Amino acid sequence: MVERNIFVRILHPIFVSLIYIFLYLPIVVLVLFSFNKSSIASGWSGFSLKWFKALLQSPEMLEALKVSLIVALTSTFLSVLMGAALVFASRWWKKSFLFNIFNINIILPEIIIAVGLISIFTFFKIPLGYESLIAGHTLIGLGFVVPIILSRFKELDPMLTEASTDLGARPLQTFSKIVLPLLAPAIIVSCFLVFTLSLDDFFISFFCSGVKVQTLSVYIFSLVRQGIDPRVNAISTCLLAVSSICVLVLCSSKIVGQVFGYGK
Amino acid sequence: MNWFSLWRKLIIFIFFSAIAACIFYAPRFFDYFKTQKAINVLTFVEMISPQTAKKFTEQTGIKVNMNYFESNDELLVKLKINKGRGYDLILVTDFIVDLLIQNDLLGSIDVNKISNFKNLDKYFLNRYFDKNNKYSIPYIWTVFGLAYNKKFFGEKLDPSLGEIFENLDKRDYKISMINNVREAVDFARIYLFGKSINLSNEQLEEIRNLLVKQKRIVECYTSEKQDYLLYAEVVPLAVCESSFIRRMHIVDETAHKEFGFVIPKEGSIISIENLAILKSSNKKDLTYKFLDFLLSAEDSAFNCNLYGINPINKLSYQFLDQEIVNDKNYFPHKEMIEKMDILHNDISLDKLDDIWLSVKTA
Amino acid sequence: MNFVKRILQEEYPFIFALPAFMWQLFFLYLPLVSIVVFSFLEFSPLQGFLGFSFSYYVKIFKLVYLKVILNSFFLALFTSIICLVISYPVAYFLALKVKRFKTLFLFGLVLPSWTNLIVQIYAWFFLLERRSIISKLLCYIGIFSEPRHMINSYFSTMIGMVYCFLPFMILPIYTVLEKMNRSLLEASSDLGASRFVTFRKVILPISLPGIYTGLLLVFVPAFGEFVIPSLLGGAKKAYWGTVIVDKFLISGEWRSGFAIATVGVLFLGLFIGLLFSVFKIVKVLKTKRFKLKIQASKK
Repeated sequence: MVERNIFVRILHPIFVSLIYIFLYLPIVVLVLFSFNKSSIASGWSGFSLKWFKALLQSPEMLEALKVSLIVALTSTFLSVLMGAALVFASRWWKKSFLFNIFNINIILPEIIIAVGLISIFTFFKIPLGYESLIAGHTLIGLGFVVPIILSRFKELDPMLTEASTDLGARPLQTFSKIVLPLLAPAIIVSCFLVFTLSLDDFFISFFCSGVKVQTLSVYIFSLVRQGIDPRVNAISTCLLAVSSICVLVLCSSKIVGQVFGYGK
Repeated sequence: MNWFSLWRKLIIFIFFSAIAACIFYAPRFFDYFKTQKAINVLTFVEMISPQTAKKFTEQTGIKVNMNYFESNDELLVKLKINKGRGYDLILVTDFIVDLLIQNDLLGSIDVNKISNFKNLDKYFLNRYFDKNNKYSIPYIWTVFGLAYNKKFFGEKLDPSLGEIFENLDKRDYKISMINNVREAVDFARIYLFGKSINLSNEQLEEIRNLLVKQKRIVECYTSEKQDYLLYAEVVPLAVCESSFIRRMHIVDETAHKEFGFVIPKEGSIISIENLAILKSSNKKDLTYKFLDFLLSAEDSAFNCNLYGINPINKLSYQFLDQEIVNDKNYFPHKEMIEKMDILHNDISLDKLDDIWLSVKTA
Repeated sequence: MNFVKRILQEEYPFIFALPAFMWQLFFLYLPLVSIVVFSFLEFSPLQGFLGFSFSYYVKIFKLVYLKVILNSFFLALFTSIICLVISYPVAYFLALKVKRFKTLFLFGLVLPSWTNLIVQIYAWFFLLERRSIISKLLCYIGIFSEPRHMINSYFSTMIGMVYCFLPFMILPIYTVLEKMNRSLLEASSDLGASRFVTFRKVILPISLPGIYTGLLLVFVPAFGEFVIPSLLGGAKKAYWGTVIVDKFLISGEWRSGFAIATVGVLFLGLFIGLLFSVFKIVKVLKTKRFKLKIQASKK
């Protein structure tokens, strides 16, 4: 259908471009100034990598980075493993409510999940630290992993698993040789998704970090609370680079629609 | 589902639970078995430097694990969760010592084991929160005051709390106020009633109204950003600790020409930071050594120069910048200190909460 | 050993499914239940467990707490409305107007939101502060007489909120519109409907589920938000999120913290339920009208 109204024909794309500019202006300025020589946002005084070097020299930053990476990698591994195993079990357990209970992870405000987590950890006298962070992040990860892999699993031909068991394969073999390779795209996508989510997570990390253990988000928060700091620009640029890679993987598959469409 | 099936499911459940329990309780298990020569120190940021800890380790061979904290209240909450287990030495503010003693988390300190104790300024000992210093030893002190932009106010500013509480409609500039209910209420209390404790409900009501009225001229409530706000010329006046401004001067030597600090003449808040040993610590001997080391003249002077705080050890003064020591805004005389208030726990948390929420929802 | 093998053989669905279930139950459902249960338990430092009581709810039964919840409600509401108004044209454009490079557009849309929340907030802090280029630009153009600090206001809080949540509103609407059967549009114009009527009677009703999902994905997190108001808003207003952080991490009053958390979730649940029923009623009404029209046309 050709748009007959010239006014709308021009205005609509302009509006959308303005929105994209709105989305990208802060990020572009942030990244640009991370290469700025002077520390004040007063103007461009020359290209310099000194803030990136300063990152490497800050022990708290490196420690927070280490914590974030460990937590993100472990949460990704755990949530994808448990999620894939659960989805595999859905072949025998068809009841959908068992899998819908995972949808609430995304709907609930993260602050409530975080509060619940620290109350549980305190009640059971579990010390806050790596374990509590990983527990929280894996929980959020499960909320994404299960719907994604489940919807992909449903698209698979159930005859394949039946044929495989009929031919005498043990369930573990069926899982690893037949189901896993077919689910691979969904699994890879959810890995990237959970990894990014875990790196970017703030609420749960804020509540569950112990005194000794601090993720990158929490550390950057404490820096931003004190005002402008060019090192934050530098670490933001790095995080953006990592996110871009993950989002690229995400968008090149059709998973986006499944994540945001299933809610209806 | 027959009985065998249920039995099998239960076994699997127990198996997984056991694995989970092992993983989650492992740190506590390992803590229990740690017997190396190391102590865990929990301190406010920018009070004890990592260099001091390193120097101590080099001298004595005892490893020091420094853990930093940004907010007193957070520290209290996290200590209460674990009953203080896992730490040996802490550095906390006066009113927190009071709360910790009430919660029975501190171990008693034998001052005879501390060689530097005799050099401590007796003026700061024997305070309300720990009479006879049975549980805590003061380490440094700081004062609160008004930091201002000299260009905006001229060289002199009226050193009075009226600057932040009066003429609220006639101001054309805004200030930055402390984002802490105890300190804000204390400033209002000093302005209205002078140094006092045990306020009546009417007096608390007056304090609440004053703070709500003050919100009109507040640009931002913060306890961390004051130096940024002043530097970026967002506000010409900020309520903050003296250490903020002194750190600005350390970072930028020309800062003292642009930014000044005064203690209001009606009085202000004085904060005494104290070292205390936790009751649950099983390395008390090693902890005593580090405590003594921190209180020594040279090392406490080093930290005071680095972070802009004031030492309690009288012998440290010779190592400090004499110009700053003579500036009565950073090192007020005893007559001034008499007017200054140490934070107390006399107002219940409920009432504080009420006042602060009224201010924030106004 | 045989016993173990037998267990593995017979119960493998259970073994596969159990970890995820246990995790979910223990780390989500149990905490949620405990929040509600603990808010009713009365504890005293000396005597320990005293019994069930409403005392913590009484403590928070004050006007200030209602104001706090309303603050959060309106913040989330305004954020959702602004996001909806902006998102719909963008989603429409992406789904129906863009022919090539759709993935690129999507990538461009999703990237800002999949970055760290703190990074997003800091980016706006950097852009809106007194010495930033925007401030200088506006000063140069003449809108400001001198560079101004545009933070610490409700305006900057709203900008931050909309920025963080916009893609979450665009994507669901986009997904629904993308899946829409294009032949419906053609059929509608063949039957003589103008573009506006097509939009009102065909596109809008189809996109309603997308709008509903978008509202859920924006309103619920926005209600619990506390970082953006505290960093971009100058900590001048108290929201539900800030009160919870204050109670749990600063003042240590966990009991009333549980109470206010429960109250907030109830409030949120009521609003979401209201929203859900509104959408359901609209759907039912439309189907009823449609059926009546068909019946009328048959006679």
